[in-house]
Amino acid sequence: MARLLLCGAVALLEGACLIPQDDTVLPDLPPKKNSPLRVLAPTAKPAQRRTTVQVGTPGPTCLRPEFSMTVLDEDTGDPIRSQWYVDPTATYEQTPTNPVFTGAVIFGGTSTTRQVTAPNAMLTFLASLVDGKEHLVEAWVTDSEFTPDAPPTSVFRDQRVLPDGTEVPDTAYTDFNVWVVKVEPCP
Amino acid sequence: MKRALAFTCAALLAACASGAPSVPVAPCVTNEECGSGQLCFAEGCGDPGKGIVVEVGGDPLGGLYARDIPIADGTLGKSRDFELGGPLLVTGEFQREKTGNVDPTNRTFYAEPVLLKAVGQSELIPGISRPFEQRFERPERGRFEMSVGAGRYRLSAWPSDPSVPPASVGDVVASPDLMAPDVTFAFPAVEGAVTLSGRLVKKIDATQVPNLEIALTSTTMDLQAFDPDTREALSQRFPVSSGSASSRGDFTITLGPRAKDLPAALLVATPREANADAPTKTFLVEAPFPNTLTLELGDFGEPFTVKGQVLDQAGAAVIQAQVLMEGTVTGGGRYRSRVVLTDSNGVFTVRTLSHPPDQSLTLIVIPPPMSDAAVTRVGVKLDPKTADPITGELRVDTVTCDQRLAVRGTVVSPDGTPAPLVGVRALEHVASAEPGSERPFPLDPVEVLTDSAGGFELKLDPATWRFEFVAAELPLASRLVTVKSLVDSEGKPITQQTIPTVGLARGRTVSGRITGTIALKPGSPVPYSTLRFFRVTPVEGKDSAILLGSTVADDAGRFTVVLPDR
Repeated sequence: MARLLLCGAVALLEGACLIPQDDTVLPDLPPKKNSPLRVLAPTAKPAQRRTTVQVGTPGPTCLRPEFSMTVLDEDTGDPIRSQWYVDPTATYEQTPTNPVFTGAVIFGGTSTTRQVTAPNAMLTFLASLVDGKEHLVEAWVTDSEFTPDAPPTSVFRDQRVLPDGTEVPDTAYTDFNVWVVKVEPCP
Repeated sequence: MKRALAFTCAALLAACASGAPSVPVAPCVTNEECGSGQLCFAEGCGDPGKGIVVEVGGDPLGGLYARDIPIADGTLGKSRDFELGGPLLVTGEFQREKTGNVDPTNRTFYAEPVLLKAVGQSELIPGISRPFEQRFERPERGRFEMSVGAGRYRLSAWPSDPSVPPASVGDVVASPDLMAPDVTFAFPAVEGAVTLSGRLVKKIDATQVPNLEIALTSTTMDLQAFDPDTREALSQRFPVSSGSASSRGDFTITLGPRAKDLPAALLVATPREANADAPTKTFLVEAPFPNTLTLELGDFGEPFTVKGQVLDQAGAAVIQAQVLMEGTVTGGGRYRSRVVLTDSNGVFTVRTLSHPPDQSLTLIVIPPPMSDAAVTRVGVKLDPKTADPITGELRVDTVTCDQRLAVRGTVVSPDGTPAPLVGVRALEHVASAEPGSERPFPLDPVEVLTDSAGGFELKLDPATWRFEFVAAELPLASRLVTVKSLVDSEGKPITQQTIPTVGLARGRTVSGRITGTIALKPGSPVPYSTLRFFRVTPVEGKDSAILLGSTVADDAGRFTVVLPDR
């Protein structure tokens, strides 16, 4: 009796296997979403957020100023762009005393970490701030493009095309680092 | 091969003759020029397995700063961990003399706010500078403790009270192999300091009897004293009075007791506001220092506006270029204008001061990276009398920038095939900049990727550049490239330069983990620490550091780096 039941169950299961299956091919995977980029704070130079930089002719007692930081972005194909603000206004509007400097585009090849360096223009501008006061330097990075004449949080968003052909906006990311800087002349 | 043999022999002979370590190093162009077991680096040929020192960045946010870790020759295997230990500290005490004498037994602690600065160099990796600073608001019983990276430092302590002169101490070594150095800063008592008083005026009219002093009216200035030989600060920065007419220009500055032993002091007058239209002037005051001084800044006149246009060699406007003017102005002071940017027509408007009749000012144009236009300096003669009577602007001749050179090259993989998508980065080679270089800052780095044929092109200013070639799974390659303004046989400027093909070498992977004492927990992973692997070797008789590779650890302190191998 038990053997009969077992045979019946097997026959049923085999029958189930013979039921025609849906041969629709699985749809394509949607394109990968943009990964966020991140400033690796421990890599920032100057290492200290509150710092003094010297400007003038470098020598043993006068170091060349260097502002840089490493950015981590898992999307190796994304170029990294940077904008550097000195004493930014609340709206990040550019004025003669609150300038904005655009850093070089960093491609980085196949590396997930990219070093972003302050443009020469910002260092030249800092040289005119030898006034014994502290100044704010903000460095913003994005894996997209900054919107001209807008705060650095405003960046272009690429379109992602889904398998069904619809376009949806991708996410673009920004991150930043800040220094409080006093500028002194080289002795 | 003959060339390599000749080079090796010559280098060995030179090394034997000088008694220097027998490491044959010389500038090279390709790996084939180097001897057996060596590769061509930017600084010259060298064995990539010897003389390695690793700079581990640590965790600056946790007070764990850079360490230099030497690797014994031939011991760097596939796996290497780095244990950093705890923060490196410099400890000590701020003290103040009780009397006018320098007497270590008669001092009190100084518990007022102090800014402590440390400027130092790595002891193991030449050319690595490390600055640190920390503010101590109320140092308890004058004690302080500051984290620094490994190195040899000069420390200077700057009290917030400007009447207390700064104090400095040199040759302070911070090393994990040594006890934390304990440093004492002794600030002088009021009666132990040197006081200089006087008046800073715009001009002294010697035609009047008695001489008439013309005061500074619209500019607030600061004064600071320096040692003429070492350029070390002898005083803090003191404000010059901008009060009532009777006291305008008066100053009193306090110098450290060291000034008593100096034959002279430099007094530097600087505008207090960054955007002031006033020059900086340096005065040499010889000992014995007079009771009162009168310093003449010079009649630098009224500022005026200069307008001009910047074009490239093709006659197109150079947009977003930085423009500034600098030089000696009327009255003998040094002046540097604010930096302005050219507009969409290449037009700039900059405020400046007038120059003496027999001199000129220098107009500096710094075009943005990847522009065809090169950094350009031109002397300009300005006569404010020729300014437009309505706008007050003075037009200068159109500035035509030189053309940047297109530097081209090809990168090939270790198997000789073209290497696409290799990052090619050009950085100005700072070590080659001559002392007193006209550019106070390095030129902007420029970066491109190689195309499908391994080719690349960079537009560069004349300078010595360090090219770095970064490819996935392969070690960093580097070359020094000197870009010069040259003309061809017909006198036309040469606009292109091709460098020899760069062959990427095979590499070896080194992995490991970085740990340290963070928040008092030994063996904690140090996240996102930077690592730079250098080979330290003599180049032209001087120890130099060749960068072999660099990487950044992950959030668990794990790292992987590809280093050159042969």
